[in-house]
Amino acid sequence: MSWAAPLAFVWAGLTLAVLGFFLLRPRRQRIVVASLLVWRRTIRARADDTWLAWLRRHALLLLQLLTVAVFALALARPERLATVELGPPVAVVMDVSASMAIADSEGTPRIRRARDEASAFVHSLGDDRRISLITAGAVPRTLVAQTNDRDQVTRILSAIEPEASHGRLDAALDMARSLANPAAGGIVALFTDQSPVEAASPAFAGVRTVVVGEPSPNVALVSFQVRRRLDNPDTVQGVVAARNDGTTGVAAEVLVAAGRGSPTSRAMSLTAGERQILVFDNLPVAAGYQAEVRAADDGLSADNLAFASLAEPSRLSVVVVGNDPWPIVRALQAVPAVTAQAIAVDSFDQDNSSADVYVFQGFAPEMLPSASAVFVQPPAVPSLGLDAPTTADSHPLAVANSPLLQSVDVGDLVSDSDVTYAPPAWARVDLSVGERALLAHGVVAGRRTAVIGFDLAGAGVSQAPWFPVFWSNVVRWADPFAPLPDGAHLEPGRPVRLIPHPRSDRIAVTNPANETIEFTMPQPAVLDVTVPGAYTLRQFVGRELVAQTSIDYAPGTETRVGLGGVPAGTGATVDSAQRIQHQIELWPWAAGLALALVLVEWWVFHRVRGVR
Amino acid sequence: MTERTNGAALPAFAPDAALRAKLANLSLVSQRPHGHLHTGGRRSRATGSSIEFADHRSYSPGDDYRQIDWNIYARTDELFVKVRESEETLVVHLLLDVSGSMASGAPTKFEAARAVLAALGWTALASRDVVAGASLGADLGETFAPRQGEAYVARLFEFLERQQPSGETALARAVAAYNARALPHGVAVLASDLLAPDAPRAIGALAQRGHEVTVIHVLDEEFVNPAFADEVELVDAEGGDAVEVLGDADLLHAYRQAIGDWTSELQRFCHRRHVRYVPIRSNWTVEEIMLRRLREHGTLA
Repeated sequence: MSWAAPLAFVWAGLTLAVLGFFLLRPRRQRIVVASLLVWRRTIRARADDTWLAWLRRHALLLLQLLTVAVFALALARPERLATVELGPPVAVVMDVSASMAIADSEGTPRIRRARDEASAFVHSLGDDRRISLITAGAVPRTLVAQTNDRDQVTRILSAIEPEASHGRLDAALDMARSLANPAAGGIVALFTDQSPVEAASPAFAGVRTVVVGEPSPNVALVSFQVRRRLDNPDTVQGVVAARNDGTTGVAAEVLVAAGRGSPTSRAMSLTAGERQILVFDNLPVAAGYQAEVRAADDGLSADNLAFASLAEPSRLSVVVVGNDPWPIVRALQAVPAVTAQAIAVDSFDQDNSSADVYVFQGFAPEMLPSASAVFVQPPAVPSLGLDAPTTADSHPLAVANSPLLQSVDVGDLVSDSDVTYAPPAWARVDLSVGERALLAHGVVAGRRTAVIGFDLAGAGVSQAPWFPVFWSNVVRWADPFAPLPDGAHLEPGRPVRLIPHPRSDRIAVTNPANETIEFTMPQPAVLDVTVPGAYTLRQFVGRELVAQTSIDYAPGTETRVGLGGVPAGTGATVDSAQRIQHQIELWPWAAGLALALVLVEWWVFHRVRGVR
Repeated sequence: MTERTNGAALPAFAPDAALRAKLANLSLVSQRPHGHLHTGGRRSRATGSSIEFADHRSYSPGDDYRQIDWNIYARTDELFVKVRESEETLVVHLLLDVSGSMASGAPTKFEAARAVLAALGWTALASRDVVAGASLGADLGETFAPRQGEAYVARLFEFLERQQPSGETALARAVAAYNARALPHGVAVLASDLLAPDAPRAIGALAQRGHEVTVIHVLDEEFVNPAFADEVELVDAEGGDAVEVLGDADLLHAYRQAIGDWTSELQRFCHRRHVRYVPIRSNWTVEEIMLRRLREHGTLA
């Protein structure tokens, strides 16, 4: 037996208080009797059970001492290690994708049917089963892990509601397998409206699938893009892709609106699973565009909206400071919307320069400008945590999805004069040589910063095909007007920290409901998307607007609407018991005993009084 | 109303006129002769020189010639002597326990015992018996010298009135001292609560002395049926000793059982020694004790 709170035995010291009260109690009543002759005979007659008489005389004291001792024992939380036999673990996976909010013909939402089915399933399990509850939303979550408390599971089940996003069933099932692997005797039960075809995929192997819902059409917007017409830049062309993800055909109407203007509509007919693309020409230029698809009996309306805005890159001013800046300047001048300027190291005057991106070639200023900075083979820069460069001695390795290396073959970059650096804490390494970085980027002190270790001044490098592509990647990533971090994924409930322009001292976020939230630097600016629509981000230096960006958020809502009819329990199940070590808490028993002692004490006390 | 006897006021414990009238026809019973052939108020089984003829018997050498019935000799030529009844005087010993324990009860055991002995003394003196008395405590207390005749009733009451309960009990020692006074044996009436370990020895000593002993065992209701609860300290009224007891129902029940056992033992002891054992309560009336209890037990007739 062990004790979870052994210090609680200090409470046993209260027995001293009880003893003190006993010793200080009012003196007993003195009664003068004619003689003790008969009393002594009486007491002698009971002499055989003297200890019993003593116990009877001090019963209240003993009960009080015992009560205090047992209470102290309970507070010390005794525990005992015991072996209990448990049944196989069970993982209940609830699909909480947006389609689960659909109310089928009888008016019952699918999520309610799924909750009822899951609750009945949980209560059909034996008492020895450890149950886990997982929701399969955009981010799978484990709500309950390995509990025997069915009431708790049912209570939490009843509170589950669909999310406004697609459901990551595969990830949720992986999570469920880690808790109750069917191959090891566990049970994974999935309650979903997933279609039977998908439910039969390998990802569902060994899973008991209970499908709720009825056949239903579901039109959804797959994509929506706008662009200026090449032949007439004053008009905009919109391209809408719509699809019927339901199981029955449907007639639909697609509407596209420019800004707050009247929408233009087009009719279309979609069979089950069919996808169509509609082109809307001659749309006026506007800050944002909205597309919507409408259909009668549409199973899910949450996937019917999409937003778009014209992708018009801002004019970036790039200054290249170095002894041989022209190859880089020429490459940058080939990048649309970029103005590049070369400055010799000796001529660089930071105070009279206000570029958006600086490229420092083999040089680092004492004070970094309020702009993005790209260092090409810099010397040691202690303020950035960069050590002295060392020559690369082996072939570099590239990380996947590097924004700086898009469409660039790493093998073309390598030369003998490349140098490497110990990667600073703020940097994400794009190319590494052993433990050192050949190419890295990141945000440091609110400034987008890249460090390039390969030789860009080598013979023939500027003529290489990758050279302008690489610099295009660099300036696109280093654009200080783009507040969203690289690779940011917008999702409700997952706020994204914005990266303001280094010169910006204030950033204002206006959401689709026209509510504006202002952040003053260096206060963190956080974009929290909650409803679909356009979010406008404006950055200010004092009262001057330095940048304005529109972010269109159209949630990646689940569009699939499953069929009913897949029988429950299609997954293979193996029931196997398991013996595990289990800590049993004994304090409730001790507390109960103490309360019983209090009752006995009360009874003894009043029984003695009752003789009067 | 204060009564007077021979010009003296009667104390409160003395029998009143109504009781005396009822007691006038009663006397203490003596079941055997005690050999005191003085002129008394009661016939004796012994033969004597009174004028009452009892029987004839054959002459034996040494008989008084004056008792030979010459008329029978004239008719039968045999010598017979006249046997005459003797009248003896009964000595009644009234022994009153005056130990401290007699002061308990309501009314006290002492008051009850003194009233009963006063009534018995009056009855005995009215029957021309000789009455002697003594108070018994830690030792022999004041004594009342043997007296005969109603003229000594007031003296007897004065003697009783002077007694007060106090001190410890040593009945056996007190009785031994009384026996040592060599008074004639007769009927001894001991009124006591017998709350002394040597009480049986004292009773035995009285019986061994040749007395016809009557023990009036006086107890009070509070002693027999105590009522208290909780833990109490019981203090002996005589010695000051104390014991702690928890007055729960079980103990009180055991105590009452012990009282029963104790009185039964005393009764058996008295029975074995031909001692009359008369248990009474202090709250009983003297009339009930005298006319009912003592008559039932053969002390009065």
